[in-house]
Amino acid sequence: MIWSLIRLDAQLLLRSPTALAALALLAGVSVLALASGLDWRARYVAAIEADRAVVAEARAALVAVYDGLDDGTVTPTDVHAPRSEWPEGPYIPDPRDPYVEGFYHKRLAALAPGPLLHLAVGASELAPNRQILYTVPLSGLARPGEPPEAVNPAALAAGRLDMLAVLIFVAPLILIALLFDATARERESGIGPLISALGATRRDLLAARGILRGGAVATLVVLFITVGAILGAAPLGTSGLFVAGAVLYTAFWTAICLVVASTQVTAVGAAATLAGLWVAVTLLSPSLLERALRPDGLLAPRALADADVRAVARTWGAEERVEARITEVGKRFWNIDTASLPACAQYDGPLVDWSIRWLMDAAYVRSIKNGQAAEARFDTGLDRIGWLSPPLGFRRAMESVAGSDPARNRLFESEVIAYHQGMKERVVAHLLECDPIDREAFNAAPEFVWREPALRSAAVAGGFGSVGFLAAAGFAVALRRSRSRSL
Amino acid sequence: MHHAILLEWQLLRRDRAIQLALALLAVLLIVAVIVGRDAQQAEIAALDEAAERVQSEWETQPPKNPHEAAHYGLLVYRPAAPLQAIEPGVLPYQGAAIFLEAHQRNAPFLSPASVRAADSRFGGTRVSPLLNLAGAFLALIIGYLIGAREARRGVSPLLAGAGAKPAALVVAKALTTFGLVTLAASPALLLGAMGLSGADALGRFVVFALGSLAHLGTLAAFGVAAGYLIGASPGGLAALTMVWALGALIAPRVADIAAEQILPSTQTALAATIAADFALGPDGHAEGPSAANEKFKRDTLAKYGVERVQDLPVNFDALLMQADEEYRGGVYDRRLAEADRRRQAQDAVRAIAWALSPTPAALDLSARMAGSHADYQRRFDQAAEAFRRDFVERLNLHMAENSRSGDWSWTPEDGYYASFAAFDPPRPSFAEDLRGAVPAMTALMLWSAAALLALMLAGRRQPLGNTS
Repeated sequence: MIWSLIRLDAQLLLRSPTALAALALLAGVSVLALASGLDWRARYVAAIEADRAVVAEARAALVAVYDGLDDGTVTPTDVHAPRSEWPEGPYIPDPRDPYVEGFYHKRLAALAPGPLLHLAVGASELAPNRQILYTVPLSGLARPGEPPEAVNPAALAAGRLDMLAVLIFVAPLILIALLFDATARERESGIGPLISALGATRRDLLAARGILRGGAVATLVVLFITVGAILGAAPLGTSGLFVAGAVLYTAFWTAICLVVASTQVTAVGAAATLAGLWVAVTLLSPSLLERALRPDGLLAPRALADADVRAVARTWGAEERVEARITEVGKRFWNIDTASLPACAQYDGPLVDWSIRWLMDAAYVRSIKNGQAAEARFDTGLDRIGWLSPPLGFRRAMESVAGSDPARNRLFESEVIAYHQGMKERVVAHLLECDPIDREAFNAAPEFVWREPALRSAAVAGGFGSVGFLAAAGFAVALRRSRSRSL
Repeated sequence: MHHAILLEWQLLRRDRAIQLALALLAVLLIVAVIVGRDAQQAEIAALDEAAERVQSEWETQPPKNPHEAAHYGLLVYRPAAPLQAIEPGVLPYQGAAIFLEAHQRNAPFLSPASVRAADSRFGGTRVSPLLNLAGAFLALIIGYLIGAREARRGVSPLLAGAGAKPAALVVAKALTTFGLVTLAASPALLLGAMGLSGADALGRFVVFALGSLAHLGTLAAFGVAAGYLIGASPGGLAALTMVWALGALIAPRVADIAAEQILPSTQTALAATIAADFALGPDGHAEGPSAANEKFKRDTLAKYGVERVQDLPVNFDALLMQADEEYRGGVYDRRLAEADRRRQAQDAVRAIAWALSPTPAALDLSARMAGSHADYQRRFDQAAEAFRRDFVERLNLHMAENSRSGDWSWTPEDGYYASFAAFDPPRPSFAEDLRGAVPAMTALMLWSAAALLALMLAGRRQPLGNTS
């Protein structure tokens, strides 16, 4: 019987201009969302590539100096000689000098776009996606929260219409338009008894409409996600997970529509109820829950990071404290007694500079890590309770799958800090051992490598589990309520 | 008319669903006022503390060469917009701090949303988004249900037979709906107004409140008219919901995409253009021969009537730094003005969405009155840049006038850095923001007029009765 009803409803659907318009709207908005997402991905990558070119140019300049040194055509400037003694002409950095190499050997740390960034833009419009690194204090390089690309402010505040936004905001509306009168239509138009006489129950009709109309929306959404995954050359597993999430969320809203339709409420009453639920569930619940869980002082550690750095510079920066500073940094961070360093390592400039940089970085990293810890606690809270708002939990799950969640940005920031620390340690090792950086050592300097983190299973399980459970419960309630009831 | 309004109120006294929905909205709005104020205070306290500490560190920094101090730089932090607690506008998504340093105009960084990206941008918990999205939607739905009541129950012919005038009925329904949503919004609006001080803030709040209520009234009127005209159709409300969602939520974002595609503007392209321009001008830290530097050197020597840099009575290096600053300042002004014109053109495309729904115009009006519009961010950015140029110029010229060329170890007298006044952020004026809000107010008025027309149209027709 259900399959007969599905066929019958398919004919009705094809003859309904409203239903076709709703599905066409979903398709049209999905096309725009895909285009917008792909455009953002292209801009995201272009910003990285532009910086990659800057870094490559800087590196090529140093390689040219090595070449010139090999064939005797270049005499680099001795940076440790008084400036008045520098030869006329352009300054030529000497990459063999660790102090100079540390400044001129620039490297790029880039956060590769998430596998499905173009389907769920997430936090990527707000957090930095790249950093040109060299060995000046991190606070002078890193600008937390600097967006990867400028987006029109008003558009940024409104939020990008990507496929995830289509799924969360538009698809439920289309489902409401298609399913609000899933049983009321026959009841109110007086043909209920006729259909009952054919042997169909209200439960059959609900199931048929749920399968056909919910399935139509899910199929459209999955189709566009698949196209997006192919265009973005996304891994199969990730794409499959994203598709599974999309199907679950569509099922969740289909179930809500069927639960409302399974009551005796009129078509207008059902439409009003569903519209109210859409506003409450989609617009209000994520914001309210997020706000309830968000601690107020989240911005403070990062806002104060630069002030902390400056306090260190003031405390340790005075001329009369240089000796004490070098000794302190040697003991605390380099595990050496700087007084016993060989004469060749007792450059005034490098040790003076490096000791203060080390202290400034330590203060800066401490502040940033404090900020990260507070943000991670907030994230953990959202992972634990975020599922109470299905769209919030679902959004976080899908952004994790797509690789555009805030946790991924924080990890990138931590990796940048660790990599910068490694750069500094490498240069200081050469400085303290009076070991020039030859071409081999220059080439051996490690590049920044971004390793994609494991999927945040807690967020995914919470988000998918919540909508999956509610979908199953909704279907069960709808079918139970309409069991053996005639139209 | 009087009787029709009384009748509507009596009917509503029995409608528990509508009462519950409105009570919920009223409570949510009150919570939003309190929560918004607390969140705002915490955020601003963090930024204020940072601003004070950075300024204090600048003033007490150890002796250093002025140009070194300019590189060491200063941070300035964005102050709260006048009504940011009520409408955060674009500010959570824009950098709240700017690093000011020599040679370079840096983009604002540290947007509050960058540390809490889970925030849904299709809603928000502040009063204005709640009122103008959820509240307006509720006004539309309640208007529809009230407008369609007789048609849904099939008693329209009865009313017509009893001599009820459709025009009076429609107006009574519209006034009742508007009265209900105003009643629900009033406690929060009063509470919001109580926390304000000063004529500027109060003026802004009054315009914001009137604009929001006009928006709610417009949607209530459209709802009543739609309910009265198509209330008997089972799909009427679903269609109305779709139309609202399209106009209020989807169309603005589609317009954003259109604006981006028609008038592309990327930071990467802008940075490349600026870098290309910089290469043509004087460079205070040039590592190779530079025609612009040579020209500046010739001009400076000629100005002081000497042959060699060493014979100059001033520090040539500092003058070159300043020439570099001034040239780059001109480049920034020109290129950023171009980018800004492009952004304004994008905004014009985005405003197409105003033709499809009153909600985008209402949100724009509320952001302008709150002072949290993109213009506020731009003024902050421009004021910070003017401050940067002034402080870098002071540092360069102090070095130029008090040291000799090639002397980078010279440091100024004690207390010199403390003589720099702290950044005084711009204070947006109500009058200026009111002028900026004219397009949004005009759009809202046109929508209100359209809603009145729809009511008049409905008032001239008998509703389609329920024939079932």
